[in-house]
Amino acid sequence: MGFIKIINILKYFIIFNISVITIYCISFSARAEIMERTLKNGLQVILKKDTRAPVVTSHIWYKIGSADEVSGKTGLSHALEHMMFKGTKKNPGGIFSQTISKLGGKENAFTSKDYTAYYQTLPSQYLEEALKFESDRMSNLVVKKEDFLKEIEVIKEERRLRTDDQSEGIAYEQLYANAYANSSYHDPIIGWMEDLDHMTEKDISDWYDNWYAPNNATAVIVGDIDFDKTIKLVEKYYGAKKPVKITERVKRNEPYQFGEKNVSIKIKGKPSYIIMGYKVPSLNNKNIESWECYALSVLSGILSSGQNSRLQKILVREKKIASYADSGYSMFSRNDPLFLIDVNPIIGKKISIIENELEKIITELKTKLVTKKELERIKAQVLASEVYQRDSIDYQARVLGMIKTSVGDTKIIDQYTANIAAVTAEQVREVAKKYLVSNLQTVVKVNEKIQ
Amino acid sequence: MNKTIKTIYFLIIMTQANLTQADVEISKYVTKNGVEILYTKSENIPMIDIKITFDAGSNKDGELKGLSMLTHSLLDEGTSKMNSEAIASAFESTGAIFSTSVNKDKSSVSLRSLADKKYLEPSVKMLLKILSDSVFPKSEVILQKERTLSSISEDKSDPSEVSSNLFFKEIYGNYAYGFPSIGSEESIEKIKRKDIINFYKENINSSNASIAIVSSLSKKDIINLSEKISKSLSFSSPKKNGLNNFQKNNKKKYIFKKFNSEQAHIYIGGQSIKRGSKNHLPLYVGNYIFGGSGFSARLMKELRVKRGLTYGVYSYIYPMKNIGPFVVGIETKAEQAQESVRLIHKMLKEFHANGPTDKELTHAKEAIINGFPLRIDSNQDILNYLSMINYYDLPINYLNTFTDKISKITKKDILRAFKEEIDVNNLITLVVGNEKAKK
Repeated sequence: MGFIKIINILKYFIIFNISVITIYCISFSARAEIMERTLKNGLQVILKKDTRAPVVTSHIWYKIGSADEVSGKTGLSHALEHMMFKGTKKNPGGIFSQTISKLGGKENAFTSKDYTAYYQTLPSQYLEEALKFESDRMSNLVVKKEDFLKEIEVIKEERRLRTDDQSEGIAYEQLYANAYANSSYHDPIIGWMEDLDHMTEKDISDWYDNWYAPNNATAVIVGDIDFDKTIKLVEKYYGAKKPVKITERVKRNEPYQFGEKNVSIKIKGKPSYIIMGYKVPSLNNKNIESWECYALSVLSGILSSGQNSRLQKILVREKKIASYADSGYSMFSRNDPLFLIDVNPIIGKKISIIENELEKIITELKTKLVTKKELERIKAQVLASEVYQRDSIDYQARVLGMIKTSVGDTKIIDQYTANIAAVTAEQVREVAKKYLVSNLQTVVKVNEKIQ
Repeated sequence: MNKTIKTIYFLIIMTQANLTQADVEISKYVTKNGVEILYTKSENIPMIDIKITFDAGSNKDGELKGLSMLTHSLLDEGTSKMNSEAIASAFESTGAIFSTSVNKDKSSVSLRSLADKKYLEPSVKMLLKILSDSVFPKSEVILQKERTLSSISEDKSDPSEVSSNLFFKEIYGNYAYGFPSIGSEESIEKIKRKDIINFYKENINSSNASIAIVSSLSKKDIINLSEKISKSLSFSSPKKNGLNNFQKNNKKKYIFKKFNSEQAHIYIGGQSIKRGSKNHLPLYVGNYIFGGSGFSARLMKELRVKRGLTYGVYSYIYPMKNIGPFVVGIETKAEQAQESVRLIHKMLKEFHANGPTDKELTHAKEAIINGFPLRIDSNQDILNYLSMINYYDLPINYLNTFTDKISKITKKDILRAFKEEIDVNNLITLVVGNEKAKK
């Protein structure tokens, strides 16, 4: 459709080791071909059969992310992810990566606020090789000072590339830092540069010892596999690993916010930009009913999915004040996330005009019911993307890993489409009234006075 | 002249360990008015991907840079009977996804839909109308021009856009490949609605179209669908593309451009080869080893792993209809820019003189051959191959023979190909960054 937005705000949700991949529209397919097991040592295993091609993707997800870090030590989970490629006693240096490459495989890793995950995608007959190496580095990583000193410089370059030289990256980081007073979502996944400067190899190996264990991990394998053979392989390589006592996660509940937070930042030489976030519940929030999360998802679709969505229609087409506008919400997060809206004004249009129009759009959502046509559009899109996503085994594995790690129960998949379909116009209005309010809102404006 | 050429290829890939089989059955059909269709059946998912490729990339812009992209972005903004909103509704109400893309050689119009007729028929109907009856309403043209201008202006504050645009300008000068497909502020201002309508009439037509389809549909349904699409396209002899009279011409030049960013964005490269060059695969394998395979490549090992200079460094060879570029790219903090430039030049010269080691070559060939099933493991991947085979007139057995050709490449081939095509003594070196990055 006309334009495809190049920088999608959702890209900041997770950091990939090598490249950025955007998780766009989340939907799920039926679980007929899924098998779940928990090994005696606590490792959770999810297998999914997809025999379209002789290919398999093997993931391991650790329930550890920037949300578990504390002030002064931010960026540890992501830095550890980098160091995981430095080798073990048995497989030093880049032997793991070299082997995967030689077998024709691809590999990567990514870190989010909630989790750290590693994967290899390769011809299915080589699955065992991937499991052999991956299980080895679950417990035998060697963190050498000389490797760390070089890798931390790589990470700083990554930070410069993704955040410091990108005004939208800075704005995103500032949004979370200002929105959350206590929740650990306050800190950036990659860490503050000041903390990267002070990080040591000891911090990394302590972090590794604390969190990398079978009882804090989920193995997800999707592709051309046989369930019995595969579960035996997983047993073979992970079964003997000892569980460790997982440090209790510090519960950092977010206190009451007394009003709207407004942050105006100046970045030399960059166009103006606005991003805002409302504190909303995740499926993990036990104080709400889960339909609220589905209604918030539909609300985000009403705002930004497709050419006829409200942000697109009003800001881009009717008022002609924005070149791009987007919204984003993921119910699959461990703590309460932000419901995001971001807009790039047409060059020369003032941020204040955008703010006024956003205000009107939000007021309308709180006072009037969305149309039947809009609801049907969202449902059709979710239904279709449930089919489309089957075109990628890696995507299927990522959805399973994400849900298991952040919400704990993959049965949600069975009901997802039905739950979206059950959302009513009244429910959309109700969540808009409840959550799109000033004392849950934080706004970051880049160069609001500069034209 | 209803000729149906059916070609079936089974690909069998041998690996050392055991037999892997990956089949792609490619069929070919030519419609009554001469449009070539390549299609593959993928039964497991009830969906369809259609990609119509036109020889209508930005090289056909002429003086009005950005014309092709602007025209394509406006295709779904109005037909004689429907406005933009109604068109979007037609696709979105069934979950279908319509999209267009433009690069320097070609353009494409794509549709992804559920295969069930209930969903597919309305969006195909809409697609046909867009192809035959797009009217480019005045107000939409004004809006899209404004958004394009805004994008161009935003790009000026992005060091990666600034550096890549400047780099290609240096490599290609005033040749069509030297300009960004989006155009410039001056050229977009000049484009009038009638230019867009003319571009549409001259280029979105059956004489320069080819179609790729991957779906769960039956052969009969695919042929029907292809005929419909092909019939919806008008016929006129297409405008010549802007790719004539271009001789390979590399020169040595160093450029520094001051830019207010923490990292310097560095490009080193020059012109390399056309699609179909006999040197393509040797260069592909050579480049795979030098900078094209992530952590397995020399560049990443030396500049990232060994020295911690960067998050990412890479090289690629991009054969195009005419001579495409060879590019090495890296971002690093300004203070390290010159060190990186020196290292890359040194490594390039060394590789050019001595080629890969035997161990590197064996590894690369195994990786490429073993990894072949991953290249064709999704409908999306297969669709892109079909479209590429059609557009660049590659043999229909391109995929079939790929691994075999790779297995035969020798060190000698790579050395020869690099000597013939990559002139390491005459490359453009561009550094975009703050004062500390300057020589």
